[in-house]
Amino acid sequence: MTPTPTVHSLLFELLSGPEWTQRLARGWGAQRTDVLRQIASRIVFARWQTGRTPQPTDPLSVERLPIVEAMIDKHRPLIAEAVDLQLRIVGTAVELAAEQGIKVTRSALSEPVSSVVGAAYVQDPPARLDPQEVAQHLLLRFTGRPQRLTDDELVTQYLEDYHREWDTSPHRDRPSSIGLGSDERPPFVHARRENSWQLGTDRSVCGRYRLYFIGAGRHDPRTCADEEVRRACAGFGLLRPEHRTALRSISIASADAGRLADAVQVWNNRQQTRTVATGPVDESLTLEIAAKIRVWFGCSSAGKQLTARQGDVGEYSEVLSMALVRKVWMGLHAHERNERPVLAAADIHRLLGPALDKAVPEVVPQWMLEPPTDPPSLKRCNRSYAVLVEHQPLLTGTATEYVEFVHRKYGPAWSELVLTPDELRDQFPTLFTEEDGDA
Amino acid sequence: MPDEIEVRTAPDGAVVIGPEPVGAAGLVFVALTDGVLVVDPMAPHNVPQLRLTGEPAEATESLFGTAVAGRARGVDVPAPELVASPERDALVRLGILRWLHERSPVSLDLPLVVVEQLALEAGLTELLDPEHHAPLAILDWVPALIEWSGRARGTDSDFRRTAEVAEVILDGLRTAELQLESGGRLHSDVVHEIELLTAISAWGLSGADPDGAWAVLDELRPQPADDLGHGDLPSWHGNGPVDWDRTPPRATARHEEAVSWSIRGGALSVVVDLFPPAPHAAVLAAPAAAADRPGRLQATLYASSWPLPLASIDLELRAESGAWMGTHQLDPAVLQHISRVAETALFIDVHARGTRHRAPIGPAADRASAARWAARGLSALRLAAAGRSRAGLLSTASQALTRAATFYSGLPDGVGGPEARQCRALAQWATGGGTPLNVWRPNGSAEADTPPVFDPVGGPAGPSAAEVWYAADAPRSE
Repeated sequence: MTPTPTVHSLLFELLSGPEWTQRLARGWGAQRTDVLRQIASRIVFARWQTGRTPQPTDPLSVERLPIVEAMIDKHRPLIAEAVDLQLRIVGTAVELAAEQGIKVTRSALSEPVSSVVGAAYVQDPPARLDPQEVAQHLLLRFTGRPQRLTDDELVTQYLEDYHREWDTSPHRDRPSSIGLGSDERPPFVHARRENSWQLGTDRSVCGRYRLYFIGAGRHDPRTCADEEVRRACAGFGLLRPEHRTALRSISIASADAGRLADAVQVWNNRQQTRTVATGPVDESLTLEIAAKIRVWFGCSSAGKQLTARQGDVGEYSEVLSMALVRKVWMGLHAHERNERPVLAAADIHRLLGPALDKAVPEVVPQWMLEPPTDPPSLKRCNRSYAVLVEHQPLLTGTATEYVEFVHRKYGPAWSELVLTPDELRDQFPTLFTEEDGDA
Repeated sequence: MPDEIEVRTAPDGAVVIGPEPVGAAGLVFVALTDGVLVVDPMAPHNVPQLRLTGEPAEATESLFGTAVAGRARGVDVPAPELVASPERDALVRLGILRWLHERSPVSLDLPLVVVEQLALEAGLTELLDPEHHAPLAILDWVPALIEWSGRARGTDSDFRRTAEVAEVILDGLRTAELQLESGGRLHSDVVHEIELLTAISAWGLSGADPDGAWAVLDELRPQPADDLGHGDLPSWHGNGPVDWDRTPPRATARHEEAVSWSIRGGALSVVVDLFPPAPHAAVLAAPAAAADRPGRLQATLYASSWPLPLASIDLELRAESGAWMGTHQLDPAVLQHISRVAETALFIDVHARGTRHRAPIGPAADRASAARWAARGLSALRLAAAGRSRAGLLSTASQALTRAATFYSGLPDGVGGPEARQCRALAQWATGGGTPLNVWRPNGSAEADTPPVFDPVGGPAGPSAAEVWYAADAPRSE
């Protein structure tokens, strides 16, 4: 397919030219995306001369394209002048920050400085800016912001509280029971950088605290630390019981929920407005989640690739569930941080989409190669395979017949020498289907 | 008439933008703030699919324009057309780098692939989902980058044979500089290296060594694994492939006969070739945090006439022999069963320890085989674009892709039809010389716009620095 140029793509092309390499070099304080959006686009659109002003990513017609190209070319010196001014302001701000002991990087200054310069260059002729004055004004933004506590400060002020709180917590909800993490006390500080949802509750307390400060959210650092220590010690690392119910409900959702058409119907009829129950599990939610998983495997590219490469979902339902639980946990953690009042079923439905689309393709193929539980010993496996190949009717028989046979052959300690029916069925689901195999 | 872009709602309610991808050599999923972008490395010239996970926002608009984002929000926009998007191109390139990382059948210098990937991600942070990529990961590479940069400054350095390698090192250093606190020693070292390398890059670089040894095709061709010994012929023996999805990446060789096995004197022996070291591994070591973990492998014996395994054995990593090896005395009952079946009906499945058993036969195994041949074909095409042994590589690509098409065509119920067609189209393209091709479309309007270009290795899909360096040692064939 041949894409149609836009003002955005033409400006990007302009700013990718050799004359801009030095100006827009990484780390200099004029990032290409900021310059494009805040300066170049605004200069061009403020001086638009050819009919209705389009959006930056609207397609340009064949007739309009040469006119717009000529217009951009005409404004090239003005854009260059504005970027040079931006670099002067950034340089001045860095010097002032060093003098005043303010922590700020050139990269952090890029967006705000672009914004100020762009606003000035919207005017024709451009408004005059005094770099010293603008830089000083911008630095105020960096001094008034609440700063998060460093790991060292957190250790000094909260480590003892954390240990005390953990030791007195009941720990009824074990993370390992739903594949959310280990049951050990989560580390307070992690040795390595940890910015992955894959950790689940194995994320350190400092790491959870840092989540507060990701993105635009700025909170009172001490209130956050108090709350995060309490939350880390609560069941599944969450304070609210309905959040824990939601996770349990996800963890038991079947990954193989029958016919696609039936699953589509269940999913389309889901109840979005009702709140999630606070009991052990929310059964309606579990059914809806199972339906969503089934539909996702049937209709998404990622689901289809997973089935083609790794086989039927039943073969990796455990790691699939782990991925969903850990990714949704991040969303519920954010739900608590943002103090959202009610957990509706729709909130979980919304969290499930990214969990399937982003988390599952990322980790399931990898986690399948590192099974969470130790497999039975090869000696027991090989002895069982030999028993079944030697006495082939056992293959189509019942679990009881298998147990009677191996009991006769190996004595009362047979299960130490060969696999149990459950272990065999775990590997080969078609075995012993005629009875429950509760031997 | 400009190309229209499809916006539809999937059965699970997700809004999907763009056509259904084929992905004969596998698909790559890039997590964005608004959804997930599906990149088909065999068709980078086609529009990638975006599956939204919420309301369309900045990423959707950057990738597909305001009109498509409006349509995705439910606004009745008539036939939104495909707009140019440098961000979309960059994300397609990122997808291809990730494919090389996971699926390349040849032993590229992985550190270069990773650094190129991390530098590219740094320019896309506003679009990438912060929970699914790690901007600070570049910091693990800083000591290595400084060391490489130092080597690249040597007048007769290998690093200076391809401009792309120096550029990747420079990009990596610049990306790292953004993440380091200014004033620290590491930051000063990085800034110093950036200045020196920038100056050296400006001087120009020497050419590649035309006499250099080159084994680029090894992984793309069938070849037997290690000989299993001398003396009497084994009672049963054979060769076979490793399923790439059942072993950690780069744990084993990726040619189609990486596994050799024999049953002699009642003992089953299995030898699996190791993934060969990258050509410049000695000077491009990855930091410990980013190094591959080989994992623990097992081999399981199957007979086509029996649905369960006959025996499983642990494989031991024997680096000195360049192989994984294992041996096991088979149970007499198993031997008796084997004596009744033909040698060609015995199979070995090599897999990570503890993974579910799966016999390496049937449609699933054929599909895996097809995907491997497609990956080899694509890899050969990409190396042809990167290096000088163009004719030989294009011929290899054509053969591999034709074989992939045959496997895909043979899948039951025609399920591999689209993949087979994709492989055939690329095979024909390779046979025709592998140059960009204008494609006629039945619904297109020739006078209104340029026909779309079929170019699986051009534009954002151009060769990575690792591929260029890998192919730099290729003998001249034209």
